[in-house]
Amino acid sequence: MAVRNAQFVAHYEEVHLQAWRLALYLCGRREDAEDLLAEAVAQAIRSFDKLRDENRFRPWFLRLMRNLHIDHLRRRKRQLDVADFGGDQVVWERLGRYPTISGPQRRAEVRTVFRALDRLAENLRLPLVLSALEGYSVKEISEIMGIGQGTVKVRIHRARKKLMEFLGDDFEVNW
Amino acid sequence: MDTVRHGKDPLELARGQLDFAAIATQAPSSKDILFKAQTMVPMAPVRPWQRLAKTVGAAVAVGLLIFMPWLPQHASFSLVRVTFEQSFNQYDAQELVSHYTREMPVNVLTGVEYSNESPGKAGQLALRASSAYHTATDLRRTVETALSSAGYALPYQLLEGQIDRTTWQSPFEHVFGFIEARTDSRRLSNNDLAQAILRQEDVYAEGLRGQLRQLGYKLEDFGFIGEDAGERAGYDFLVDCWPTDVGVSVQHYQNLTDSEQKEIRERAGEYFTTLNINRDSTNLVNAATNWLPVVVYVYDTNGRYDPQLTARMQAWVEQPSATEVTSVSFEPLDNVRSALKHVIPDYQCRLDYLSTDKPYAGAGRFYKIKVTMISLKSGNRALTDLSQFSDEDDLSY
Repeated sequence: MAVRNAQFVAHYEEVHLQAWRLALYLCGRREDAEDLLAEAVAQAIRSFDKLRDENRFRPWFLRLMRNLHIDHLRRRKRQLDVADFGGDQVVWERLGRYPTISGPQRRAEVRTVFRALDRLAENLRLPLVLSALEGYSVKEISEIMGIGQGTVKVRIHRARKKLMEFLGDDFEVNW
Repeated sequence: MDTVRHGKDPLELARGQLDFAAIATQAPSSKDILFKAQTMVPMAPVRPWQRLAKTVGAAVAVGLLIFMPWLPQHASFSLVRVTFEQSFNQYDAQELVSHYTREMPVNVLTGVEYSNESPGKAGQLALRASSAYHTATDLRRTVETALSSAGYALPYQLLEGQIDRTTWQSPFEHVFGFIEARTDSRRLSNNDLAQAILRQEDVYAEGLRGQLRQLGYKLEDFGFIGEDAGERAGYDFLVDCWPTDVGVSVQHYQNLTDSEQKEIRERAGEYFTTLNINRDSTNLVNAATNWLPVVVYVYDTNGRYDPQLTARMQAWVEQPSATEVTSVSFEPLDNVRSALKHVIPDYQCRLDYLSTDKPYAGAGRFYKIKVTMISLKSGNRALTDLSQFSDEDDLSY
């Protein structure tokens, strides 16, 4: 069992940063992201024996975390009856937690992109973010989201199209 | 400041601008997350034996649940014995017994003891009743009601008793016993009362154990047994009981002297007589008589003589008057058929004359009639069974 635990830890450490970024992106707030990640790890420990191919640890773990996040959203939605709990505050939080290289000038551009991304529906936004920002392959995204690769491609395409519509004239930067 | 429209892919721009290194710096360490996860759920046991212990523990727990005796099994048997102060001649005794047997519920085993020096003299009569369905008090009340309905108001002594036993069974034994009982029910008598007695094996064994203890012996094994020769040979001795023989094994029985063995056998026989399941010859119905014109013997579907049903049938068979019995047109089978409608209405039965006396032979004869239960009236099996008999013999009720 010690071997099994060590295997889990080794796998987890490999994906820790990617998982953190996804958690941060999904939750927006650092504290929520930490909770989500820890809960996903806890659940993954319980279910690790069910993972047949350990080479697929990353998509398996990220999918587990994403499903957990969806469950949280549903619970919170039921509890608070709040339809939209994203909004500017989350965008700002998200932006704040995603440091940019070029300093304050480019922050505005990135913020605009994030705001446009936030306007996308979840099922379009996630594949686009995973693909364009995180660099996941279509196959991995399909495994994380539990959908076919063809569907992923279609969704990424639609998401891009929508994103460009949203950005439209807004995607202007004051130099 | 100029406003500039970007021709570049906005996502590429965003990706290019994100400082992944800084994000990584701000991220909590994997150890922190693992620690936090552990506060939510305990990690699985770290050593192989711990995991094995968990599996073995679960298996043991399940095993205990299945094989440990924890289901209470209650069994009880009530007995009532009636002894009469007055003496009865055979005819009066038979009359009273017939009434008594007819009035008793079908789930009560009735028994009779009658002793007279010769057929012409009056003798002592005792009635017995035992039941697995009644408490002793209920059974007493039932017997009193039956005697009262029979019109008997003279003084009698009534003794009652009840044997109770609680044993503990495992679920496995419970299910296995049920399956075994079902198998037995096909093999042994299909009479409900017989089945009730067979289910009370524990009670009988416990009672006999006490009886043998009084003599200074220890009961080793006890069981109602079937026809299987191997099964029968497995016991030290058998007692001829109803609905099936009883096998008894006593510790060191083979080392005992003949007189000691005889003493044990006799005590067992007496005990089963008391319990009303010994096939003793003192029963009026069992005894061949020459004063009852029509005597019946009932054999169940397994071909076994059934004293309980015989007693009931005998009680229901209307005896011919002196005039009728001397008439050449008297048909004793008609009387038996009428009784069958009351006692065994659901079965197809075959009637045979057992007596060497030929039927319709005229006055002064008595008729011994064997009633063989063939099968339940509905179903193809009945038709198949019937096909092996001649038209003359086949009688369906």
